[in-house]
Amino acid sequence: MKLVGKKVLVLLVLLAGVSFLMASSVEMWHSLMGSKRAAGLWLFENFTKQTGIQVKEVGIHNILEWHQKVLSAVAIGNPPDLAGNHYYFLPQYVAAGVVEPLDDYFKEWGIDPEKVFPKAVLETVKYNGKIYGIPLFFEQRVILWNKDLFREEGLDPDNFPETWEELIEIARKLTKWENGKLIRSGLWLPKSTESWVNVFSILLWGYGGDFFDENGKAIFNSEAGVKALTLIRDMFNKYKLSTPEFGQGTKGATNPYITRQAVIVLGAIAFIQFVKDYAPDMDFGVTFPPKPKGGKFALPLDPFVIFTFKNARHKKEALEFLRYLCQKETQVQFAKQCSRLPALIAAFNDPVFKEDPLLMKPVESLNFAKPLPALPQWPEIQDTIFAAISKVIHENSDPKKALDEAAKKVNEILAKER
Amino acid sequence: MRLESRGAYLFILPAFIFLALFFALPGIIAFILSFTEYNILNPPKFIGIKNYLTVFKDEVFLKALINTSYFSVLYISGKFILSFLIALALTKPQIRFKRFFLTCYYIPVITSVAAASMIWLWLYEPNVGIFNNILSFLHLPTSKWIYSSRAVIPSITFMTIWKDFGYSVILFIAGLSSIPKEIFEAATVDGAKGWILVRKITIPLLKPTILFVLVTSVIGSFQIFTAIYIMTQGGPANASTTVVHQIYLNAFAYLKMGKACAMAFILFIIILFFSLVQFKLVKESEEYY
Repeated sequence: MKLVGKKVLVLLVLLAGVSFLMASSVEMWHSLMGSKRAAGLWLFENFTKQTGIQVKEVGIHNILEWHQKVLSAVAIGNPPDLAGNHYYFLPQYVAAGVVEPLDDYFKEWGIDPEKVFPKAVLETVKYNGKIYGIPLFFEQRVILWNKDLFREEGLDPDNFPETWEELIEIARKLTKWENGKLIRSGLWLPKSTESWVNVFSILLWGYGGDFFDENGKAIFNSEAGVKALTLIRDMFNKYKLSTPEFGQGTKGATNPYITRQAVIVLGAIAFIQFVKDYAPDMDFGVTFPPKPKGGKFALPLDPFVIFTFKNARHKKEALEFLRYLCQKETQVQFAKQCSRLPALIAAFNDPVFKEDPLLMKPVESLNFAKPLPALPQWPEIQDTIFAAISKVIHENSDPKKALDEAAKKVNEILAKER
Repeated sequence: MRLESRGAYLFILPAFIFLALFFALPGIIAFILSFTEYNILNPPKFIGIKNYLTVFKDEVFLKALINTSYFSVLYISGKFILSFLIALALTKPQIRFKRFFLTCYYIPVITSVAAASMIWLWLYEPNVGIFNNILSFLHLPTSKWIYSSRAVIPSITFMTIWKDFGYSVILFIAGLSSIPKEIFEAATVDGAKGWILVRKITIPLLKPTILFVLVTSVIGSFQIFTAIYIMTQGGPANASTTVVHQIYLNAFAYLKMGKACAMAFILFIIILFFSLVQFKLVKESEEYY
C-alpha cells in the first residue's frame, strides 16, 4: 500500500508538472508602470481568470528603454508576444513590416472598430488603411487647480477661466516670488520634450495652425505657431509664472503641485492619480486647457496601444488578449483604477467617467482632441521642435527664427525618408 | 615555437578573444554599418558615404562637437591642474593625515556616475539647491547652473572634475614618488627651489605620467554621456548635447544606426588624432638617472 501511495504521489506530481509546462501563456512587454502599475496587474490577472492564459508581463518604466528592448528583441527575431506603449512608437514597427494587422481578426470577433473606437483614436493605430493595435486608454494633458489656494487669494475656485489670457491674469495673482526665488508658481508647465511639445500643439491648433500641410510639409512656423511660441515664452520670461527648471527631478509625492508650490498645473492626466495617492485631502478641480482668445479649444490625444508581432511565438494567445482589450468592462475597470480615460466609446461614455467630477471635462475634451502626427520620424521631429521651444525660452531667441529653422530641419528629415 | 612562448600565448588568449569579440569585431561591424542605412528592424542598405556627408551637414552634430570640445578643454585643464597641485602638496613631508585626504579625494571616483549625477542635479537646483543657497547666504549672485545655456557645460565639467580628479591624484603621487630624491637634493644644492624645481625637475621627469593622464582624460572627456543623459538630456536647447549623446539618440531614438555609426567613427578618429598628437608632443623623457 505504501508503495502504491508513493507511486500515485509521483504520478500526481508529474502530471502537475506537465500541466504547468503545457499551460498556455503570453508574454507582454509594457510600460504600465508608476500610477498605472496596479491597474496593469489587475488587467493581466483578470485576463488569466477569464481565459486561463498566464501572462508573463515585463514592466519597463522608462519608455525609451522599453523601445530599445523591444527593438533589440525584434531585430534578433525573438519579439515578445505583445508590446504596449504610447501610440507614437507603433509607426516605426509598422513601417518595418513586423506588426500583425488586425482587420481580419476584428471581422472574426464580430467587432467593427470604426464603431467602437473614436475616429481620432483609430487614426493612431491605422496605417495605409489597416489597423495594427488596440488602444487601451488615453494619456492627455489636463489642467488641475488647487481650489483651497484659489480661495486663499480671494478667487472663485469653481469658475476656471476659458481663455489663456484670463488664465495668465489669474496665474499672475497666484504666483509668488521672494528675493529672486520662485516660492509658488501660479501656472506650472512641467518641462519635458513631450510636455512642452504638447503645450505648443494646444496653442498651435488653438490659434488655427497645424504641424504639416496635406503634402506633408512642415507649417508649424506659421503665424499661429509664432503666436503659440511667443505666448509660451511670455508665460516664463515676461509674466514669470514659473521657471523652466521648476519641479525638475521631482516625482509623485514631491512634485510641486502635490506640495502646494504650484497652484495650477498643465500636466498629464496621471496627476489626478498622484493627488489621490499623495494628497487625498486636496480640494482640486480638473478641466481641459483653455483656448486662446478668438481661437478654439484643442488638445493632443495620446492613446496607449497594445500590438502583436507577425512572428510572435504565442500568436493565438496574444490575439485572445487583444480581443479581451476590446471588452467594455475591461477598459472601464482598468481606466477607473488609474484615473485615465478608456479608449472605447462605450467605455468612456459610462457614467463612471461621464459623471465623475474629476473626469467629466477630460471626457468632454474627446470631442475636439486629436493625436499628434503619427510618423516613424516623430521622435526626431519632436526633439527638433522641443529644441526650438527651449531656445526661445532659455535664450530669448526670436520665435519666428527658431520655428523657421526647426521647420527647415524637419522638412530635411522627412525628405531623406521619402 | 618555444614552450615558454606557447604558454605565454595561451595565457593571453582569453583576454585577446574577449577584446576581439567585444571590441574589435563590433568596431569593424560599426565601421561597415556606417556606410549603410540601417534601422535595426530591416536589413542594412548600402548608401556609400552619404551618412558622413549628412553628419558633417547636421547642425546639431556640429553643435555637439563644439560642446564636447569645450567640455574637454575645461575638464582636462581643470582636472590636470587640480590633481597635479594636490599631488604635489600631498608629497610634502609637512602634510599630515595624507591617507585621510587621499581617501576623501578617491571616494567620488568609486561612486557611480548615475548616483553622483542625481545628487548634483539637486545641488544645482536653482531654487532649493545648496550651491545657490550658499551663494545667497554670502550675498553673491546665483546661477541657473545646468538650466542656463551658458553655464551648463562649465557646471557639468565641475561635477565631472570632482568625480574624477582623485584618480589622477593617485597617478601623480605614484609618479612623483618614483622620482629619485637625490635629483631634488642636487638641484637644491645648485640653488633651485619652489616653482623652479617643479618646472625644471618635477614636470620633465613626470612626463610619462602626465602623458598617461592627458591621454586618458582626452579619451574620457570626448566620451562624456551619462551625466548629460541624466542631468540635462542635452539641453537647454542642445547647449549640452555631446557627440556620444547624439550617437545614442540617432541609434536608439531615431533608429538611424548607420548615421550613429558614422558619428562614432568620426569620434574615434578625433580621439585617435589627439592621442597621437599628445604622444608626439610629450616624447619619451630624458633619462636623468
